[in-house]
Amino acid sequence: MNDSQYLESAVGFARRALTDVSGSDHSIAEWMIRQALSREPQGRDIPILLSAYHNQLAEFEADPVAATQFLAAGVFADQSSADPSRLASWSVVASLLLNSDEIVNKN
Amino acid sequence: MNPTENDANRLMLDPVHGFMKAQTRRHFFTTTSMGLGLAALSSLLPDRRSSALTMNDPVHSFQHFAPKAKRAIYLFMAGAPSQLDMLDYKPGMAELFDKNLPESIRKGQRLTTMTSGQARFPIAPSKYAFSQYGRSGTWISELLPYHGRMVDDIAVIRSVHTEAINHDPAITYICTGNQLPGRASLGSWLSYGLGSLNENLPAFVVMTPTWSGRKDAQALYNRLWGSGFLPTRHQGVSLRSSGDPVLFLSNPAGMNSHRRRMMLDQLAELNQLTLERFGDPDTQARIDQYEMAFRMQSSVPELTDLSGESIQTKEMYGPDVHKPGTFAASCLLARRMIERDVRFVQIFHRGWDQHGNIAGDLPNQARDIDQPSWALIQDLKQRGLLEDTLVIWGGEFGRTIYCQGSLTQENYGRDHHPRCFSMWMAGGGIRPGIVHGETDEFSYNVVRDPVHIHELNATILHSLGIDHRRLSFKFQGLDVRLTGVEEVNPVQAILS
Repeated sequence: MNDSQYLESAVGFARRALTDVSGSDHSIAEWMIRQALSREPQGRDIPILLSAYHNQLAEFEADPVAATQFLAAGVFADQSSADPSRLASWSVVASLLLNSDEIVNKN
Repeated sequence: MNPTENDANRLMLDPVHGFMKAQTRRHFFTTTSMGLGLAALSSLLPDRRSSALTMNDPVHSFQHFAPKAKRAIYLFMAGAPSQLDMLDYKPGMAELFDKNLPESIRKGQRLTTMTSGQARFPIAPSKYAFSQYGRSGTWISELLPYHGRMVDDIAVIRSVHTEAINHDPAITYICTGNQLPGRASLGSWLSYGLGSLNENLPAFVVMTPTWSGRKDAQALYNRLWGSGFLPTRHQGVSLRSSGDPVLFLSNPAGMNSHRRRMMLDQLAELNQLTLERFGDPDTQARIDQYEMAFRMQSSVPELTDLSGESIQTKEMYGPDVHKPGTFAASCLLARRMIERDVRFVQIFHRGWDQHGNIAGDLPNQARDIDQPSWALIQDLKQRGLLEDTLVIWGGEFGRTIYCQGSLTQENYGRDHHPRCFSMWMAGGGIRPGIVHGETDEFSYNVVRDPVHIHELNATILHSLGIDHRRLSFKFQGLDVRLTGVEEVNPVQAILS
């Protein structure tokens, strides 16, 4: 989760989401699940991700410096026109998803 | 008992029952958590973990009787230290220098291919002087002066034996009870059987310090502290010997503890869905591990910060204690872990494989471990911890009386020897100041009170309140035990 390469992947994943998906936060969460898990969202998947996003966004908007620091994990922040707080929040969501058991464990 | 842990175990033992339990829990979460609004609850209590994620389970069903020891430290000498030059005094060998090992002693027993082709098996007496120490009058080599000072605190066992003659199978055997990889290690059995006493640190911690002997030492493998078929949360956590003890434990820049906590709560929710969907115990292990990692973000820096240790304490461990990653520093860390109720600490000190150049290598190896081992015992004793902490010292087999390679009065080498070797134990449950077992005058075969490594492990478990026959796990149709399927018993003579 804190490994710099894995963190950078999360930021890159979030940047792609914000570049490729034009639409609501719901659409972004849905796209991330399809990309990361190769399946359609089910049950509480999307509500969990959206709740994670909004929690992080409130925190990063109150502390924009932290957002910039967090995004410094990779080169992707420079390639995105997205608001840093928004990109950082989606990056945390991406990190959450990339560290989920469904991704990490081959069950 | 913690319900999630219980479920994870049941899922493995009894899939049908496990499925029914999972159904019940899913029903529970659907009707209560969602109904009441788990999200609302967690925003009211942002720093409080869900009780369903509680990882540790101090009261576990494998504590069969009152333990003498609650925790243990295993000082493992990987590579096989020479009992002949350290703990098993054979004064009669001096006059047999360079004579052939009698066939009446060797009895055609197998040798490794490193010496089986030698034309002769010339006797190499130890070049080191031995003296008697303590009230017990135990003979100890000049390589271990500090061991001499603590002989009345320890029980020396001179008659340990094993079947394995090469490092990989032998170290796997003594650490996991089987020469083939795949079984659970001693520490993971203890974690599984006894649970953890400190929910902020792993129940089983491993350290792999630096060493001073030959650098091309035998490798260590994760399986020596692996959990095998046991749930993976029981595997040992290996601390790095330099730099950060645990890689990537710290949050990255811009991520504070509060935001990490929120993210982990939501990650746990997501993983909980996966667990309910598939019922894989490894999913539960992952949920637990993230929680443990979060707690370790504060508990590990506190643990490894030696600045609060007094000068007197550090001096006791010797000058190496100031160098991170040495055996001395690891021993001091082990004491700090025991103070914090880590169940089992295992230190693997490498470099003990002296096929040649004993004169050049062995004194350095002995110096690495001699004073710190003594200091560890004294430190535990001073803090009242030795009485309920078991300490074990030893390697995977012994070494031959006959020389491998060229023999002079000044230098020689020794090959692998599984038929007898020396270990020592101390602390909770162990009779101090005794010597158990005896080898023949060549330290080649055991002549009195043999202790097979399964019996050694049975004794360790006994000290910790476990009947080794009843600590088992169903795997591939067997009730697998650390001590194998044949009848073995703890060594009563060394138990207090």
